[in-house]
Amino acid sequence: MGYIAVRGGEQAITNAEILLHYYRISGSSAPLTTEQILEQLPLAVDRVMSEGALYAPELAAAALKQAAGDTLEASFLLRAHRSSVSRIGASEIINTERMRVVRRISAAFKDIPGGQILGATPDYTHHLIRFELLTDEVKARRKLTQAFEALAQKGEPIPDTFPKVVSMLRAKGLLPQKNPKNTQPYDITLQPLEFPAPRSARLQVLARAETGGILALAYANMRGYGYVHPVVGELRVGEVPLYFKSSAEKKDVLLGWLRVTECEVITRMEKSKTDSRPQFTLGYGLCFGHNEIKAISMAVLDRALMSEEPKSPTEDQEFVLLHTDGIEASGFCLHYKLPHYVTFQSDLERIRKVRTVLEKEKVDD
Amino acid sequence: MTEKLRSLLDSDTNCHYYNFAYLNESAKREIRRRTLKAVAIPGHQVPFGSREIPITRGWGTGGLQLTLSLIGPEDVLKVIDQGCDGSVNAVNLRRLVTLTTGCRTTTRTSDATLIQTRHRIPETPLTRGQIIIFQVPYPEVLRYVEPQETVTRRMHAEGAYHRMWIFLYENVVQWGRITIGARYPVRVHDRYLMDPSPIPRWDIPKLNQSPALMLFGAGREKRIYAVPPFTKVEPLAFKDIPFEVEHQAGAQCSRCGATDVFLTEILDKDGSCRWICSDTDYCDQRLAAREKSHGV
Amino acid sequence: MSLFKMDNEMLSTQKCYRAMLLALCMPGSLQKIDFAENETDFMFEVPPPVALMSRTLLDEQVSVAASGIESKLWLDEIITVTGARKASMDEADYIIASSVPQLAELRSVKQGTLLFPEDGATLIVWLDEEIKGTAGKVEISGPGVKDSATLHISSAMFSLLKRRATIEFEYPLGFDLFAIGSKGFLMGLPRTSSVKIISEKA
Repeated sequence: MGYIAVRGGEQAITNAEILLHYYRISGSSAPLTTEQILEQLPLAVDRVMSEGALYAPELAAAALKQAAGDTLEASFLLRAHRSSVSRIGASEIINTERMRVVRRISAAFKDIPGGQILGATPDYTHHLIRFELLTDEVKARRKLTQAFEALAQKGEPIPDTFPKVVSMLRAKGLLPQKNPKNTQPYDITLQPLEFPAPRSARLQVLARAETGGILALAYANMRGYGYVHPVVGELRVGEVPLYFKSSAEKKDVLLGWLRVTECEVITRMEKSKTDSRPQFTLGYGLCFGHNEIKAISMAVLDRALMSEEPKSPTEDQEFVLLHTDGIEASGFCLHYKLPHYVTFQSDLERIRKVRTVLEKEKVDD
Repeated sequence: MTEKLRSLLDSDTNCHYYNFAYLNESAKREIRRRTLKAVAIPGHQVPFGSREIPITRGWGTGGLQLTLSLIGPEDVLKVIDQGCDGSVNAVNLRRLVTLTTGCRTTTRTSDATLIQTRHRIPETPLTRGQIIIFQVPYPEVLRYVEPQETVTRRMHAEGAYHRMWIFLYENVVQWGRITIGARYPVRVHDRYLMDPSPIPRWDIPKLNQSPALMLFGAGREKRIYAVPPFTKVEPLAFKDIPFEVEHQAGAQCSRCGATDVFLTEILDKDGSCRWICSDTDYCDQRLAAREKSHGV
Repeated sequence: MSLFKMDNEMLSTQKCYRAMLLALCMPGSLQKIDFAENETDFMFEVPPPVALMSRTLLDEQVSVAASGIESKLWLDEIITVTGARKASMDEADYIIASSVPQLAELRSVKQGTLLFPEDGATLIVWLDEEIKGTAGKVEISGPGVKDSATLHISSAMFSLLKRRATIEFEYPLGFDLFAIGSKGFLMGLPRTSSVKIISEKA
């Protein structure tokens, strides 16, 4: 009886990996290009960048392809890659007031300076499957794009920037003033979380959290396991410039433009810290790419976690921040597939021992 | 055949060169600083940054980060899971280390300088100079009684472990025995309560006064802790309910005949079960010795 | 098939770390730091073993202070090369000493808190002579030492151990130290080590 343990294990995992690739690439359809994924599945790319905590659209597209569409696996690939590249430094603070908006709405007011810009959204479509997508003809595409572009030529360009709704509320004293101190933010990739966690740490965790995870908790809060009662003051999606102050140059260097989604929710009133008059409080959400569910959920949870006396799990920092990282959560969930036969053997021994002892006691009685 | 397939898979990598041992130097430095502090405070969990690496969280990233921070070109690495070198996850972990370091690997405990392990301590006694690195799912032994990190940290700070004793007491009241299987709570250097990782009770006595350095890494939970060589480690027990290791009367390894090691059951097709050594290197050595003495 | 790159710095810091780890987990044992006499890496004033230990452990994430006249010169170089932050003796995570620190200095070194005992500082003490010698005999016991170890040590090492012994740590609080001798021999002393003076001028 040979126990060719070592060779057997290597063979098994090599075969498994080959099979994984084979199923993905052996079909008769043309290979997906990363360009196709970037252009035609941009929201999947955005989600992977957001949960992978790395703004790298091409790598995200490649990761999605490699992961055969599994966004968690793709995010994991990005995260692991992030650990292997060296850090040069920190960028300047992103100014979302400079955003080149593609979508910008407010639920708090019927109309706002600059207007409600719906942008590209499925919000007001009928959520019905378009069966023509089962046979996507290039000609039909070209017809629509050419017609639209002709129309768009005649339209007025939108302004470069839009004022923030919350700035106007601040100016009226209805929201607290921004804290000008700007202390060094916590860096959760360098230091592990401690509780109570500072707000910068909380926002970082939420910014890279798994969308479904924070959605579930935010939803629970909205339904009653919490007291946030949010109103969307402003939700904006667009590109923001990213600047870096290098030690060599005197002025900031523009590294590029990032697509982000920002959401500010106005929540229940509280006594202001400066005078006894009530003010609204603000919950803030920001994430890479276009992901409104994430930005809104993040803003609601940001507000919830400010609770000094948490009355529900959605307000409990440890509960929310330790369980919403998709890479950690899915990893541990899946680890139950690993062999546990030694620990199980130990449990078997205990249960047998206790049963023997109990039976012996019964006999003795 | 495997080599051919493996070379096909690996040849595809667009030749992105990684740092030796995958982690960048900044990550290694942080782990090294934390490990030194862990060694100075036996059994105390030291928080660390814990980077993501190409192994799934929960599958040994803590142990692996420790190995990667330690390993040099001269090291000889052994990786086991449930005591077995051939276990698929152990194979995968070992492969990542060799890919990024070129280090020699071994299945022989006595030849290894670094041993990364999940859920077992090898049967072959460890020696001075060896380092054993445990993969830890739950660094916090007090999770048995308390889910909140802020509370358990305070309990350790104050040495206030009565809730653990109450838990064990209630266990005895209910079942007549302490029913904790693996992952049995221990006390280190008469101070900290420690989670020894899910090793069986059989391995707990090996922690006490070991000649080897024992390091524990929890990647997902972001904690490192350590037990230096020749340190007191004792399992929690009551005077009248002493600590018991696993024991199955009459059990014997169906391959090498050993009885005085940790054995696990294998279910056969006809529903019967036989026993086998969990430590595959030990089993191999014993079998080889037996075959040699029988002139096979 | 290899996918990695390695350079001298990576290799030397890895070996230095292993020596420090062994030294700290086996107090009383002597480990050897493998350093290159002529390789200065922009630290011209700092003795090569101390420079290597600094490069192994220090960066922007930690703070460092100096003890002793010479080490105040060393500190600027160490900070420039590693990026560590300068701090006062009582706040620093790491203290680089060019000679045995004064007792008052040792008393001010941070020892951590019950919640965070790992915040206790680490001292790297340059002895400018050997660790072993004939100035005194001490007995070291505690974690890492089988039973106990008797050592014959030099006068610098003796005064370091004597001063350390007067500060009674309330475990888990305390600081941890490395003594490094002129030929690159290293001894580690974690806070858990008990040092008993057997005799002076053996």
